[in-house]
Amino acid sequence: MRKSRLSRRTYLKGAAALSGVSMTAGCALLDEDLGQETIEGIPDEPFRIAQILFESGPAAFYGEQAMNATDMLVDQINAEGGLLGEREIEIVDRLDEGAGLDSLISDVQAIAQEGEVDMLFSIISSAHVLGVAPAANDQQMPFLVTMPGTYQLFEENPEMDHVVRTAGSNASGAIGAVRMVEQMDDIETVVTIDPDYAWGHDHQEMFETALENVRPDIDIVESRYPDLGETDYSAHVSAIASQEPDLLFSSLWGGDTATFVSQGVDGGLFDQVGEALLIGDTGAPLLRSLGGDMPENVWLGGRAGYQPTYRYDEDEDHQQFVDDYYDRYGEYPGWGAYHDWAGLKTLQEGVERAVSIIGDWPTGDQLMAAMNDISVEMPHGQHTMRGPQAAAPAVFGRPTEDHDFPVDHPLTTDFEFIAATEVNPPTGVPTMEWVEEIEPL
Amino acid sequence: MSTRLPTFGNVGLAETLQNRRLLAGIVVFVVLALYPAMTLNAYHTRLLTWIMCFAIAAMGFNIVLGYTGLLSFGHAAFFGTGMYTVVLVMGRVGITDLVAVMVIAMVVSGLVGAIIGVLTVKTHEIYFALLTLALAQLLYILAVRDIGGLTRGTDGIGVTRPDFFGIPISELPAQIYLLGFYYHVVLVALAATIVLLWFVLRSPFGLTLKMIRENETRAEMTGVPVLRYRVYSMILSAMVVGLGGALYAVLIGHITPEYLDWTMSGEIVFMALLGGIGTFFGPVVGAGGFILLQELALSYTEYWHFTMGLVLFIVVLTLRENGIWGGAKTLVERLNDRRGEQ
Repeated sequence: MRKSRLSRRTYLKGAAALSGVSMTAGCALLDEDLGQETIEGIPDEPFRIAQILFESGPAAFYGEQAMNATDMLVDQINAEGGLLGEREIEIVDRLDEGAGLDSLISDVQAIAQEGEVDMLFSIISSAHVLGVAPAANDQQMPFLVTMPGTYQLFEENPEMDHVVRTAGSNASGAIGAVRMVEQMDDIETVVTIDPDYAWGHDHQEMFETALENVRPDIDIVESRYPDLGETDYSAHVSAIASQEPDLLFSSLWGGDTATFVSQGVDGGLFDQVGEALLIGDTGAPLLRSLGGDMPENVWLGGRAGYQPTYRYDEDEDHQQFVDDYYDRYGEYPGWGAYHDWAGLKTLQEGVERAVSIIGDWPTGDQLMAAMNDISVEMPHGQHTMRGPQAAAPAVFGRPTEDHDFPVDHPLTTDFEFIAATEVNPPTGVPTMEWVEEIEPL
Repeated sequence: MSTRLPTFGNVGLAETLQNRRLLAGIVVFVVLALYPAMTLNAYHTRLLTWIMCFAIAAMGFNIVLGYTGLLSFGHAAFFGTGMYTVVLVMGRVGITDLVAVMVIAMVVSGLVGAIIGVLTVKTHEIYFALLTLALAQLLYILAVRDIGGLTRGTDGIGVTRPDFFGIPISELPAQIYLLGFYYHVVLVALAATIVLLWFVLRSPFGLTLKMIRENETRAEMTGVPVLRYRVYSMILSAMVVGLGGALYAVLIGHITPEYLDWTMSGEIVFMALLGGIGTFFGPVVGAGGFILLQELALSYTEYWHFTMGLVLFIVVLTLRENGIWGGAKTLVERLNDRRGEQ
């Protein structure tokens, strides 16, 4: 496999330059969006956040990571005085996504009306965010979206000015996978397996369309769609194994990936496939739950590719985040935790930027405007917002037992980094249009 | 058997005002109509609108269960059809008038009701429940699969606000649209549904449905075309449930296939049971009780699933088909009896 053409150094330089330009543009935007209301000085009361995530149902494991990370980071920020060192953060409410869209929208309205919350934060489900974000925007309730990946969020609702999303869209995972395959030799046949709902179908469609453009010599010989929460993958395992594909692509995530890989290993699936690219939630919790079952011919990663071992030694902030999380919870952070970390970093940076420009604490509108076109340092380098939407790179790694971390399950190593510019559409271009026109590197 | 509506003589205003039920209904309607303006509480207004949409749906469902004696587990099909019709008629056809959209949603839901009715009414009890469930799940799968690119799969599809008789009311801010307009539209729709069903279910048509529920063989022997009447009740039920769904689609603003899923059917059944399927107003009370209970449980405990399950279990076990409304009526009657004895 060839290395990516762009070196990390080149990318970081480019990202720094881009963030400088976007900072200037953002300042102009902020000046325009200052609005009429003002808040004098820095308020004494805490900055109040209501967090939305799954506390019940199968996706609660993802919510738990996010909740853990938020609790830990809020404690750390408050220990240093809070935002700007002067205003503490308080998580005043948590809304359970398990209650469904009806309750979420109703609760958001109640929160907006009571005026006891300064910002909504997190959310996991793409279907939920497509309903809750416009509702929050209607109420002029600032909403920092941290986890869902649907590319439709801002493409369907381009007028939302009270919503920002610090997670990369699902394009970065799917196109990141295509960029990986583009560099692979000896791939002629591919089988895809994705969960049977919008997330899985979007990923498969983007992957297939882009792959046809960049590697027309590769055939997708079969596409499978198990139900979300499937417990028995034996039929899928047999069908894939019988195809003996050179590559297996999957956007299964959470418990589904663990169940599929585990049953695949038992059924000898990974002996029948050349390589596997797993781009769902493939963080440390997956590797912990699989334990020794993790096959070696697998690439784990996707949008932002959050892995505790990635640039652990080089990035002090990352090292501290991983160590603190491990010390507090006895396990390594998963993607949910990293997504909320990116969100809180963006909030800190946004507050700093807004206060530096206006001199006072920002109103909700001003804070949201300040978080547009901003960059924060994450383990993969500059995590850059293009307008209200983050453009995440793709990172993939190999599982390995050979590491120095105090856990007895595999972690990831041998990372491949694909720059955000190569896995996200240019600003203003609809994702699917861009995917259809994507060109080989 | 005739399906004529009953005729009513000229009733004077004084006589009307002496009817305590009617008077109470008018007072409740006026109080509800004034509520948003008096309180300016958008959250409560939204909550009431939500309850009223489901009250319409639960009343529609009760035509089949409470009056015809058929337990359907597929009414999400009609609710979801109403919702998706709103989106598709507005987005694809370009009709943006609220009344036109609602009428079309009712007609389409009625058509789906006719199809499901024709395919299922020959069966009884568990077979009817399972058949309606299976047919509704077919629609759910079509929506999940995004057949024809109409539904956008599980991520769902956004709904824009409709206008009203050419007035571009949708351009109002969301809060004002709800407080000053949409809430009242749903309130009028609920009142109209109540009045319409009150008369229809007391007409020879409604009495025939009850007769079928009580003794199907006897109904057949007296010359009632039972199957045809069952289909009629499915169509009427589907239209009313579809109206509830269509009104709710505008309120929620985003539709996913979950509204076609069996869990939605289960919620509608639960609302009717909670309020009382043996009573006319039970489903309205049940919809309110169910939604308020869910909101309360969510605010006070993370074990809201458990809390709701427990309360519903106790209510259904103790009050049975009378539900909350029937239980309350019985209680009032007993108290009145005691007073009379004293």
